[in-house]
Amino acid sequence: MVALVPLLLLVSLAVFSLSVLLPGDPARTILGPGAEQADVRALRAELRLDEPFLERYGRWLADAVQGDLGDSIADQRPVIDEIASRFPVTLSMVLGGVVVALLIGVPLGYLAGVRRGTWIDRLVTGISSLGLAMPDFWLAVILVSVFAVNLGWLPSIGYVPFGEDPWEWARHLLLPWIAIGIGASATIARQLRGALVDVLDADYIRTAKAKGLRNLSVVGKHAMKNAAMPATTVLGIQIAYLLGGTVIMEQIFGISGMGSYALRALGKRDLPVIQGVALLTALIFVLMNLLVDLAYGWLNPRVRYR
Amino acid sequence: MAFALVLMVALSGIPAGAGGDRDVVRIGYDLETVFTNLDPSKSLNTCDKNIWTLLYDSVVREGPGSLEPGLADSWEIAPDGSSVTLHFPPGRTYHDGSPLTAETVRQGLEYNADNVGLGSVFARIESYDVLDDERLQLNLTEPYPLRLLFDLTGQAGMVVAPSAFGTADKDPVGAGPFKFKSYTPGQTLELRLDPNSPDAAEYEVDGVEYVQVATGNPAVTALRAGDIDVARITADSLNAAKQSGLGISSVATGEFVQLAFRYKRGSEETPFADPLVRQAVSHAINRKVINKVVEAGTAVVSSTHFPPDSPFFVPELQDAYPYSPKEARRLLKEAGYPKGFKTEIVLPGGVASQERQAERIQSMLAAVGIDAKVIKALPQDVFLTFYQGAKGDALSARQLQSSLGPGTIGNLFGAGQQLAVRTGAVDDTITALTDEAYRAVSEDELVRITKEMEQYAVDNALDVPIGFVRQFVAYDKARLAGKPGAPYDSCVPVDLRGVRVK
Repeated sequence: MVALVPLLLLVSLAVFSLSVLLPGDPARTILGPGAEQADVRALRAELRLDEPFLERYGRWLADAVQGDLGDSIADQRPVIDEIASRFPVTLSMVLGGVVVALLIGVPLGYLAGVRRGTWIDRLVTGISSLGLAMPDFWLAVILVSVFAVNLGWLPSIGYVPFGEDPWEWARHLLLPWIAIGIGASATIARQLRGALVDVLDADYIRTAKAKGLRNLSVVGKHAMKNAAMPATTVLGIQIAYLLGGTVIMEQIFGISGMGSYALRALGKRDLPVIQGVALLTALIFVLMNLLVDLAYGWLNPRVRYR
Repeated sequence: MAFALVLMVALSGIPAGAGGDRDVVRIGYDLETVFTNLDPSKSLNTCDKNIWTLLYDSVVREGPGSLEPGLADSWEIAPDGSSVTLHFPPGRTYHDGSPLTAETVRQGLEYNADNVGLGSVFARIESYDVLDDERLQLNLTEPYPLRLLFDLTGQAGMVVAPSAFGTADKDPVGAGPFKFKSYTPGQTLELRLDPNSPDAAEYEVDGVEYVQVATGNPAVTALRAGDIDVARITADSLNAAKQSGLGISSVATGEFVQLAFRYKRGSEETPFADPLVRQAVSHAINRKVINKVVEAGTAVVSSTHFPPDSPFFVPELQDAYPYSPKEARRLLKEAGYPKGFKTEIVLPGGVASQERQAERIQSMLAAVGIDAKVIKALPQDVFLTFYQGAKGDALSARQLQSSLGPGTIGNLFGAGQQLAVRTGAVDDTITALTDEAYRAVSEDELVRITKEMEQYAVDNALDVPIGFVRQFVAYDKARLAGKPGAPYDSCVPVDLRGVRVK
């Protein structure tokens, strides 16, 4: 956590610098190529785009530490408000996908690990290869086509906040959850299977078996905890990556989350939004690392921080 | 997977939550990318007019190349063009019940004048005189009355009620046929018909709900799934929409595809500075093939800047440059390029139809000796790449027709216009004619001068118009009775007059 502040500073400076280097004049981009030059100049002055770089960055930083990330150039709405309303949307989409991934990946990985070399292992390996090879956006389109268009069971687009209607919230997110979850489950199954195979060969497992402990206890209580550690690391990275932006999923399902917000900002050279989203993404990665470290501590008491 | 399937079946059995009134039309719209702000005084995106038109109406309405009554039911232009007097009908109110008068319209215009993006428009108004409750006189800084009136058909003329000044981005109040109900940025926007509006009788719906969906195939999918009732689609999605049994309506718009040229790079002229070269290119392009490849054959091919149904259209010019590689080679030889020349052309990429266009244009130019290296840019970066980045000496892009006829050509080649300045394409004749057109005090005079501009622009092949694109609207025939009208402009809403939910 101590490293968090300098890391965020570094990220914000890097992104600010890169944003300034992006080709194109934000004012001209927003107003359009045919806009009168006088109007473009006036907008540049209003946005203070002609101020020196360090002055602009300093001003942005002073506001940011007070929670003010500025207003979007494109829609004039406070960036922090938009992030606050969009992040829960992306979060609910991603976490639901992660739950699906765990529900599918953990049992498959367990089965493949304990049944190493059998037809079950080969079947699970084949299924997980298929899951890894299948692009999630392709799967999303198939799911929409089958379950929304042909069967009419679920909506194809849209998002309903949980507080407004929990059932509709779930109905609108089920297809994205499955599309995200299947790809992620393949990774989890593979990681878990590999780690479990290594752990089951360890001396302490043989000792546990020799002491007469039941197989379920040996695997479930002892082996799984150690085998889960590499899978936890991979899962943490995946969650952080997904939370940073699920642009294609949002486009397919008509969900306005962080991904589409970031994409729109890049297209419009909306610097305050680019900065805000980059900062949030950096924060998410740091927090996910922390959560993974804490999970390690729970799984393996020997690595707990004092 | 079994769990997911069970969950899906279980959730599908749950009836949909309260989705609004029964007779509300759900319009698929890319709120995320295209719409920015409900308040015309704050928005920097003129295409937000798609929504504003329903909420606020405008002082004057825009027909295809003509002016029609809006909030003002009539107007007078001073003989010397120094002022415009707007007349407002008595008894009209805003959605909050407050009266719409000349004074409140004045306040609304001054509220919009705070928008830095509208500075050049309001710089044309020197002062306002409220003559009485029904008449507002706008005194002009320059005698361009028709230009101002056409400006008032857009963002500048969208009048916010005084009670909503400062809050219109969250709770807008106007005098349009629909009033505001709710807005979730990037997700949904709901409007309800105002029964007190004089236009209410033309509508048979209770309201409209804009639902976020990306343009193109996602919109067609959402229509097929029954999640929306109507949406704009592109020519690329037309076949998919037809095969799905959706209703289709379309209209030829004033938006045209063109090849634009860089005349000068610094102080050095490019080959395109020579009108013979430009005329050669115009003959080298097979417009019908480009139409088929990019617009699925739906565009109206033409060498003109105005479509056939425009008052500014000159019929003799529509086929001024028939496809003729032989004539193109002859002109290039006359211009001093018997073996052609090398150049770079910026073309939009990343979309299948645009990629196909790039290949075709390249091969058409190669056939007459012009070796064109293609620089691809994302569609949203094409102008950035060509005009700001100064890449390439030619560009293929879509141009929106200016609501004021002379602006369509004047904005491309007039003095002080950025598109012309950055490419060295400023033309003194066009500049002079544009100024003369803007000073017109009657629409007949405006039409005459604009046709003269068109003749000059086409004769000299200042650019190469290829054709006018069509706007398409797909709709769910099972749910809607009547036919939604495709708008003639991408920034104008779908016409729902006469449409009702079955």
